[in-house]
Amino acid sequence: MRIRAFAALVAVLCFACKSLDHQREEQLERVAKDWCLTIRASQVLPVYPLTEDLQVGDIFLVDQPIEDEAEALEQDGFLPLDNVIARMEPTGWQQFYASAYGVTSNSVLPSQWQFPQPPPASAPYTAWANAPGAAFPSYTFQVKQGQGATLAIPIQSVPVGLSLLGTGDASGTVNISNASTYGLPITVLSPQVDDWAMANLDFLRTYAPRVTTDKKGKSKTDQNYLRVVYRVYVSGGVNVSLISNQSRGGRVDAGTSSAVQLFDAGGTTESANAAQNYASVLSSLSKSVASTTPGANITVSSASSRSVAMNETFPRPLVIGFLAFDRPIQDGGVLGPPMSTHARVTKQNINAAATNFGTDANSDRIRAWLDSDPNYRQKLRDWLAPHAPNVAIATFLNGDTYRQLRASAVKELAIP
Amino acid sequence: MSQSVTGIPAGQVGQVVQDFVDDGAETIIVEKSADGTFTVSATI
Repeated sequence: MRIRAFAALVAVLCFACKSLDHQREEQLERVAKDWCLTIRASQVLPVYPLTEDLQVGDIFLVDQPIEDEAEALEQDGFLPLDNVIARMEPTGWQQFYASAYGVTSNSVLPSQWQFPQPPPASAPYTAWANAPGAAFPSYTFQVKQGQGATLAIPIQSVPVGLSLLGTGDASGTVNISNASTYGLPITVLSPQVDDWAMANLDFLRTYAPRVTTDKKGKSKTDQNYLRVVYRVYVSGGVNVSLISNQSRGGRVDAGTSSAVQLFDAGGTTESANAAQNYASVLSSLSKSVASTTPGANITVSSASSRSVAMNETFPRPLVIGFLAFDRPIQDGGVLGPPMSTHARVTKQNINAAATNFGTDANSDRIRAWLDSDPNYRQKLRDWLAPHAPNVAIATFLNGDTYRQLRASAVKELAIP
Repeated sequence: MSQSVTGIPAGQVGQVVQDFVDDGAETIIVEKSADGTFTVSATI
């Protein structure tokens, strides 16, 4: 009987542990997703985890079907950036920025903002303040110590704030501060991608469309893309404010609580002294935080018994979001027209780029084939979807860009 | 979804317009360029 009871207790404990792990995992995922949704609300694709090492001109290989990517974005809130294949050094900065923001004909971006020459003797050690500015909406979250106190974003202010408040349950707001951005238009960058592609045709050829057969015997075409980053958003830090959700010691607060009562500003009632004491307490707190969190640059900007606000500066500014365009890798490794990544993965209608007129014998063959059976039009649409998303059949038949794709269609769809 | 084909010779405009009609276009606009070629834009 005792053994059974012991076994049941162990089972309950194991279940509880798994449940806690699951809860923690769920909360971390939730926090990460909320962060990403904040970035996405600004029509920017989030970078997760944050990194300094993402630049305009970075090229990624995308081998996932668009449906899977859209689902991943919906579920996780971000797109994985794992298959980097090249980093171009784009040109055209001076013309695009008209020599503003310190951009000259010799500029190498973002190096001149990341590693200014001569190197500054004191902080900030970067020159991102010279880059074009950007701003993002604030981000709110709930956090419970023991479940999600360690945020899945590199913000150390949150556990520090919880510790200062002596609470494990708080509501918080994050403001992304010191945000900058830089980029190049697609019309400037895309031809440079063509040059890169011509020099790397052998590599790209291995990723040309491939017809495979699934388990049910249905054939499908695996389409790969190049994803090219054309704008990034960088942040120098965050402002975090935390409000405790816990009431302690039977105290009841209606409205705002009295300032710095928790930190004991002293017994004086004179406002001048109180303000001085308050500033002194904040300074002491900031020094105390600095000594206990090496590597983090956190200053306390306001504090009361139930709330604390902090400014956190990242050691180096980090990329928090980006914009990119995708180009399908077609037969022979030739690249198709550019399409907005954001529009593709959020399933928006894409205004396909204008194409020059250019027909050939395959245009006539496909037209005749379409006329021979009304069902063939849908068949061609289904075939086009992965090869040239959002391209109408009429554009496909008459566009100079689609000569190679028409030849592939004739071959793969056995068009007589 | 809007699409456009540029640089169409005069003799081919009819065929391009017909292709967009067959494709179920809601609106079709034909414009003449300074070089004498045509642009057909359509919303599908």
